[in-house]
Amino acid sequence: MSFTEAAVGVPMKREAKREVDWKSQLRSLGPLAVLLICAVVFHWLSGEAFLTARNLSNLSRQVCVNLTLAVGMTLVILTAGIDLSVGSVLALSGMVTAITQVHFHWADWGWQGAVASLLAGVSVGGLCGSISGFAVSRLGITPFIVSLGMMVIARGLTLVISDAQAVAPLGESLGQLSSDYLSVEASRFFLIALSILSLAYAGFRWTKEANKRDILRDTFFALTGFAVVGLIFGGYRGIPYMVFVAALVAVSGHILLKSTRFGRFLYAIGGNREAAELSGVPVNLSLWCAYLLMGLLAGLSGVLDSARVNGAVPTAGELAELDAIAAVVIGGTSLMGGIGTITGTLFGVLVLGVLNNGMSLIGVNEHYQKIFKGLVIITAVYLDLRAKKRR
Amino acid sequence: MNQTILSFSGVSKSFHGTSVLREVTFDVGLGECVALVGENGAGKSTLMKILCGVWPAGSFEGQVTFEGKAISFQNTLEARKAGISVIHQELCLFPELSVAENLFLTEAYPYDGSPSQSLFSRVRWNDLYEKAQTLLDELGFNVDARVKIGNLSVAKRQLVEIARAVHHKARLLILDEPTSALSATEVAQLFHVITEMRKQNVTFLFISHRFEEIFKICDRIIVLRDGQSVANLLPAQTSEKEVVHQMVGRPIHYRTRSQRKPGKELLRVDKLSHTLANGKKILENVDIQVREGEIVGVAGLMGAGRSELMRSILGVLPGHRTGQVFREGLPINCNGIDEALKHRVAFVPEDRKKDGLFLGHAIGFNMTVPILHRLSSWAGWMNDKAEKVEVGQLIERMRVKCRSADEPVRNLSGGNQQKVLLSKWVAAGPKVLFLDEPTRGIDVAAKEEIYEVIEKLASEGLGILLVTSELPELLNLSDRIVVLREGRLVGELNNQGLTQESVMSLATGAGHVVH
Repeated sequence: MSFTEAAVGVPMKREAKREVDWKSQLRSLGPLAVLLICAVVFHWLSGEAFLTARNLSNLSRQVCVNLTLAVGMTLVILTAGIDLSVGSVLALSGMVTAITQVHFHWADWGWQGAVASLLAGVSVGGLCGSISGFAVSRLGITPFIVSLGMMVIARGLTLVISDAQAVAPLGESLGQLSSDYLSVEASRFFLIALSILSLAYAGFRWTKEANKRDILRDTFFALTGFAVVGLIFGGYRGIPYMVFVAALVAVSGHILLKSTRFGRFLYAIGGNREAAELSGVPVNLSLWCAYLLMGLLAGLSGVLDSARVNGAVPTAGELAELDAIAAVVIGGTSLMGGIGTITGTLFGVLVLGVLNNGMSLIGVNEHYQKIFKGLVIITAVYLDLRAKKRR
Repeated sequence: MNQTILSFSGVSKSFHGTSVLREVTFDVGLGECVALVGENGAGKSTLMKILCGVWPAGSFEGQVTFEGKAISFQNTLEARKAGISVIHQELCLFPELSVAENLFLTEAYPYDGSPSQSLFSRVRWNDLYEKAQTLLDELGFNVDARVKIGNLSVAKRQLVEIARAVHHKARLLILDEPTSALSATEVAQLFHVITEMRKQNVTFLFISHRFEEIFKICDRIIVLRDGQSVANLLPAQTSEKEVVHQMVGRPIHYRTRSQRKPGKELLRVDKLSHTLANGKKILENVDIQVREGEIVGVAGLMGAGRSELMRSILGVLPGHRTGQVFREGLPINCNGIDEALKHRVAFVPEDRKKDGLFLGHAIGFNMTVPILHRLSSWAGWMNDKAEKVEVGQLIERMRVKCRSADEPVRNLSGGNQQKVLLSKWVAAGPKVLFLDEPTRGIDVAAKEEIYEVIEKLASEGLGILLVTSELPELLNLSDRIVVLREGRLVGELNNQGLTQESVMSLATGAGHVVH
């Protein structure tokens, strides 16, 4: 279950040694196989209810909040840090969004009001993140302690501003963010457009790059992916808006890590902080940015969560930080920092999502679900560890 | 040689089909001190690992006899019980525990060398300290058993390791590069300890890259090359050249120092003083000048403030700094590596594993960390192609031996790791380069290559400030040598007809100040 692609190096393709390459590529398909096997097993146990367009579409909406959190968490954990406060920050941002909608009557202003509430929620998250980032980078306090403190503070603030009451209902526009779908036709059109774009990109690469095999592989996976997504969402109401948002976050995170300087800095800081400092890496600024981004994403997931339940409760997002951390770790990111990818995290999020959804579907008692989830987390990390050692 | 205590006969070992030891055969006599030399990768550490039980019996061929019995260790504990102890290059002590606790870590009571059977037996603190102090005093080590290891100098920590080995009734001590972090006086102390212990029939295997010391302390020199024991030399009847010849299998040409003509002034340090946060004055009124195409060596004992000088100029040494630094005549005030880089001053730190490299990451990743701004757009987008080209050029220019730029740095030999570290900074295009111990822990041939690179950089017009504790290296490379003693500049010597002794006497304060 190893999903880390050799700790992100210079993306240079090796021409020689084809057999080794095949092996490692097969291995990188391992996680997909695990997901497929889980899906088939659940499908069989649930009397063929799992692998239906409707269920998978629901599943995709269920994992959006965790994916958003886990992308941010990947950035933080890459620097050998951790953020325990995301669950509480989610609740605070969700609550701020709901209060602006309900008590400030921004709900009356239609979509402008929805955007304003969304920005308010995200900014509150960003503020929390930037405070944590300041404490971690400038004051040099351990991330564990900083975020533990922020976790309690944000939860307390949520209870204070909400008077420990649920705040509902939100305006229609904001609710649409979670409940509405891009129509089936538009979704099909969108996916076909994406497929054409990826073919065009492949053609462009074909003229530039020597390694044709990689281009074929990448294009094959992209097209297969679009086809599967098309089958799922085309079969049930189209692409949910929430999935758009979460996918945008994941893709941005991936690009941020793979092809920007900031991404390199995060890998460097996590790999060897002393060396990073002595290499002229702006360690403090990068750390601060990582926590800021985490905060913004926690804020965004707070807004999504509020939109999903059409209101906000002060207990929202309890233990959400643990799900996010679990997803990141299952995805092969090292808690010691320096190693990890967003694709791995995506896999971790999907594993947890499939488990939650599948177990509910076959009627496993909620309490037992927790026990299974815990076992799966430990097993997954153990298998990943073993695969890495063998290499 | 008197009675044989240890003998290797036909010892071979291979990893995945590559043989690292081939028919190694030699004997060691009781109470002898035998030097084991060889290039990195010659098989020294594998041989040691067989001796101390890391590679268990059965994982190698041939026979190793210790005190008349063939060894059959399954793990390091058994080797230690049999009387073989290793003092590692990187010391294995717990910095937060006291000396006494380090000595008797696994034996809360009764301190007889065997691991405590009961997990929850009471620690008798007074007995523990008393017993530890007795042990240290008997050995004649001037170490307080109650002091935390972290507060001791490297030399004293080594003594604690040796005491621990003695406590475990070691009759064979393997010293792996024991002097690499010691000053001359400390080395003398260590050698005194070795001589004393040999009188009590303790046998020593001495692994080192420093020939001078080997010739001083050892009775015999065993040379390993490509996993074979190729020579058994007596120091009295051989020369350094001969040993090196045996090690590399061909005669080595020592370059003579090339003549360079220094150009205009690149860096000037004026009355630099630095006080650490704890109030200790580490540098006092130091003046230094580095010119274009010049290598300035900084000599001094451990703790004289050599590394601190560099770190203070760069602004990465905690504490308070006074004085002025000029870069081509303009006053600069660096508060970190990135600022220094803007003034085109780069720093290659001494501990490549701790401070220099990202060991788990690829060679390319390591090389480009300081120059990412050049390989990316203003918005931070990486230009992968430019990076690939840059890395390829660097690998070629610095002659890094690797399979591909994607290989993790961890897999490289010490010399190649050092080259990666150097290229990282060469890539940044500095005008002034600070080198802190650029050849620590790498073998002879790799050292020569690094020297060539350094000289090449100087001839390209860089000003280089060099700190090294190996005097031959300093004399070999520097155009000028400044000597520090206890944070003060005590001399500035033109490197013409200088000897190790003349530099040493200034550094230790034995001679008078020469200008």
